[in-house]
Amino acid sequence: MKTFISPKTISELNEFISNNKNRNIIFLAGGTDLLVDQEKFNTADIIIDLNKISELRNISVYCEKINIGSTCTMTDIAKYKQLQNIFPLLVNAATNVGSPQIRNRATIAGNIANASPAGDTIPVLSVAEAKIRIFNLEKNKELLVPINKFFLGPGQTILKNGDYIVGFEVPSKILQDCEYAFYKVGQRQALSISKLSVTCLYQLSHKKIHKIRMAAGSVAPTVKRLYKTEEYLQNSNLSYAENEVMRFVKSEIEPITDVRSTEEYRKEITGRLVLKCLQEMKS
Amino acid sequence: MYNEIKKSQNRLDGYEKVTGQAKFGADLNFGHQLYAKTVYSEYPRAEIVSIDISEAEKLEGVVDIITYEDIPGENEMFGRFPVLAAKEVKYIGDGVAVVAAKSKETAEKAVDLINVEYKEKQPLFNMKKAYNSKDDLVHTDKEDNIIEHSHHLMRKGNIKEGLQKADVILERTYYTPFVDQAYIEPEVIVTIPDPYREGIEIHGSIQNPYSIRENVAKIMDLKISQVKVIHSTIGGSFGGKDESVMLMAARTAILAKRTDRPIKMVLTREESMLESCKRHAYELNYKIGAKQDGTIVAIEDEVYTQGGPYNNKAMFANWRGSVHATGPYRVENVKTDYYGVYTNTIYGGAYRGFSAPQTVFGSESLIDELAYELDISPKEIRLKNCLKEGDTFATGQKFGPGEIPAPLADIIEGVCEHSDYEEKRAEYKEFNNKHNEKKKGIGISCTIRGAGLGGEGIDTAGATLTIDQDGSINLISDLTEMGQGMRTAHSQIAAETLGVSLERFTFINTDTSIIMDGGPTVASRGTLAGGQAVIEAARKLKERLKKVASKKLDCKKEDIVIGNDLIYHKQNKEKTIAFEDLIEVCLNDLGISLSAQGWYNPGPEELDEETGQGKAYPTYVYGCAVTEITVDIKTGKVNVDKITAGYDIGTPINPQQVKGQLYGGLLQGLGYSLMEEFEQKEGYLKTDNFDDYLIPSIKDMPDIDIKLFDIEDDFGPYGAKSVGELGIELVAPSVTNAFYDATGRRIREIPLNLERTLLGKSLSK
Repeated sequence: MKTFISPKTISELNEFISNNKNRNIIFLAGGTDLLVDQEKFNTADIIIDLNKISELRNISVYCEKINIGSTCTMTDIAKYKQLQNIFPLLVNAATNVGSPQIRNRATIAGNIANASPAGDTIPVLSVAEAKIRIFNLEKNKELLVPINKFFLGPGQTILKNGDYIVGFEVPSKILQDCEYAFYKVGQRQALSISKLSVTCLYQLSHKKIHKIRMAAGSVAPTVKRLYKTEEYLQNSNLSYAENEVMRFVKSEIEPITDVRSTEEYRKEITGRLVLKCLQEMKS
Repeated sequence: MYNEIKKSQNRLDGYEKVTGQAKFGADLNFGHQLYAKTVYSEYPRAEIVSIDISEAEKLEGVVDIITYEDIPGENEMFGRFPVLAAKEVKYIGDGVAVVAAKSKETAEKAVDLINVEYKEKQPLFNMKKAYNSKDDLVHTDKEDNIIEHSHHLMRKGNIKEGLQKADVILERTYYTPFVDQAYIEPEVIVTIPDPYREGIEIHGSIQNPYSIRENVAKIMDLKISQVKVIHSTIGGSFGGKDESVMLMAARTAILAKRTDRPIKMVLTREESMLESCKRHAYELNYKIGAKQDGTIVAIEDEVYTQGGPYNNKAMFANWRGSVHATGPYRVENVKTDYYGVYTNTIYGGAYRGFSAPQTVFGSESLIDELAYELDISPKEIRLKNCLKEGDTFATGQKFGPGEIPAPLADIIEGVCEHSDYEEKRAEYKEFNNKHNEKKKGIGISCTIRGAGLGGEGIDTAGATLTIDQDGSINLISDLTEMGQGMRTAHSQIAAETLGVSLERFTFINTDTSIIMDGGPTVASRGTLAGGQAVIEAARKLKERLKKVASKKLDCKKEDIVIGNDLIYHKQNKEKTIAFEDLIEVCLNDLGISLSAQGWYNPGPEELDEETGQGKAYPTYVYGCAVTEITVDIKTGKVNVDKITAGYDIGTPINPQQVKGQLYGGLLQGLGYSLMEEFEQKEGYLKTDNFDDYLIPSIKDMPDIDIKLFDIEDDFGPYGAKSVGELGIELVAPSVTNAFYDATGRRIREIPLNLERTLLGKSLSK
């Protein structure tokens, strides 16, 4: 028999998890990924619905930090006024997910925990160097994990049975100092799982690239920060060699050919879009 | 002046649909019903060594399991489809066994427990290889892999001499992929043992109830009249809900008979994509000869159409294709050959257009290439060659007054003027000289389309109209409503003929036990043929009403007018009787039958099979589209910005519905142009649901501007012709032609997805 529970508070939730350590637990938030994954459903002993815990559905901005609760939906994020001003990249990514129906259900934690290389909010939180607040069952406490330590592979994260995402902490100072560029390539205008995406956060000063962070989606087992390309460009005066940039980008990603696109296309276009971001900086 | 037609009236089935009351097949449930699920082949081609059902039989909740051994009658249906494969599986969608269980979940589990042992064989995937093979045969009782009766040809003039007269000859090959109808509702069949007599009753998402009835009777060894088929509300079909539902109806009928319980079978999306027909994949080889001034002198073409392992209407679709292969142009020398080919892949069949989307893509790309080769405007070359009064079609049919109307030149001029075609061509050229990242292009395409079945079969149709005591009128047609709005169009035609308002009308879903088989609901003939039958039934009723009214009003029958729900003397308005009152007199006082049948039979078309010459279709519809696109050079993304189109579809019975049909067709055509394609690997489907098989969303809908050219043509009911399929076929060539205009690159294979526009190849090739 499967157990289904809907705790109302975090303490109630944690207590329940601690008492059921040895059973297979899955967490249900928006359900947009889970409800179509029958296998995952079949293997679970306990389904925990997080929707009734209001503490998990908060957004706040203070002390140069943005805190986003795990069960905030894409629509919550897209509509949050202050975020539109200080973190438009995230608002944009949230607005690009699926369709209005999906955005009304899908949560940010779901998008992250599902760990798809095509997850729309992952590259954004990567370049913002967000931290993920997780509940760790083994230590029975909350931990703050940098996003680049969170993903292990497609659909795989550091979360173990009973662990869940509490929320996200994004340093907001850098966001306010930086500009950004974002490109998503899909075959159609809506409900399109991306063939690839490039997200870029940068700060120019005196015609030099003072700071640059880039991430590419759908071109590796996990969303990929382009550290080498960043390093090459950091402090450069925008007189970079285009073929060098291409070479770095292509060396950092490992795209595959699947039903959505080809390795060849993904490699070439990721490079081109990185160059496009750089061109945008110049103008 | 008309009162009820040429008017955008609300759909008769609109209320039930928008309030959610309408029942689709999957909404139907009967007491003690069982759930059926098919065990599909594991290989694209293999010998079946053994089928072990013993483990599945033991599962609690499994009531029955059938294999080919349990079929009461013949194990072969239309198109050579077996109900269940006996000795060999010929593609991955072949059924091997069917389970009936008390729950859906149990049926799913039981399917996994059935153990089929196969001996794998080397499959035939490649169409040309299959065409050329004489020893490796999909059907071993044949001498080759060419589908029976699928070779159709057209011979006009002398192709050799024609080509010798040409100043320029172009040879080009075009390719189109298999695509799915992508209806929102997957296939459903619910079959119940007839509660009152020997026989069965079949409900579900059925496009053609009569062919299902005939095939099920054959495999069940029943009389045709012992099988009763009623279609449910259908959530889209576009030609697709035919052979797949025939297989489901056959399988569930056997189970219903054996278990004496209702059997429900609902396909998953994956099963639907696997088992239902696709638009045939084509290879079109063209040779065109023209004079320096652009005058076409000869077209020679050889077209191969991929059928999969069964003959799903290739003999009909190829005939239509062969008639239209030279496009809407005057060509004195024609040599056309169409061949359908068997392969061990998913199979081709009917999907909106029925050869036109493929053929028009080929012929309209070809003439565009000719235009650029000769440095003539794509518009001018079409205007120069398009069929005009006095010209003859490839079939030898003559155009002109009293014959077939030829309005295409006016439509081309109208659409080009409306879209500022030539101005925009110049404007985009300038834009492209200045911009490197984005390129803009404009493309044109034209079409001619035979209305109705033509030489495919006799365009018969039947209708019954019954007036009840309260003055309401029930319409029964042998043609099915699939969402196209045909019932509303039929009722508008009946209302107009009778002189009463549309509000009186109700209709029932087609039930094979109450009205005679008038042929399938295909070929955009619902209004064309069905409307004629409706007129005849309405006229019969009107005569009877007038006769009674003349006695009642004491005047001559000829002086009676019926209009605005009143019956009156044409000069003396004092002499009036209300419709309801007259009905009461007819039914209660005089006992007159107020039920009448209409039957339409235009007779067979005359054709010479050796040359293809003759009266292929009684009349034709026309269209021209101008499409504007923007190409992102960095990513290969093609964005369709605007489509301006003009059509002659005859009288629009319901202009709003006509536009709905055209918008829908254009959007499906957009999917065909830009994104839809089945990814296959070694005979297996890689795209089997809508997360991978992309169709356009509402956000991909471009700005569309449609103008209807209502050209006089008295062939159809009130001058109405065909519209259902016309919207889809102009998009792909106008998009690829616009792509050439934008980039200077000619793409001869659709879809123009990002990979193809950028790298020149699709995913799987």
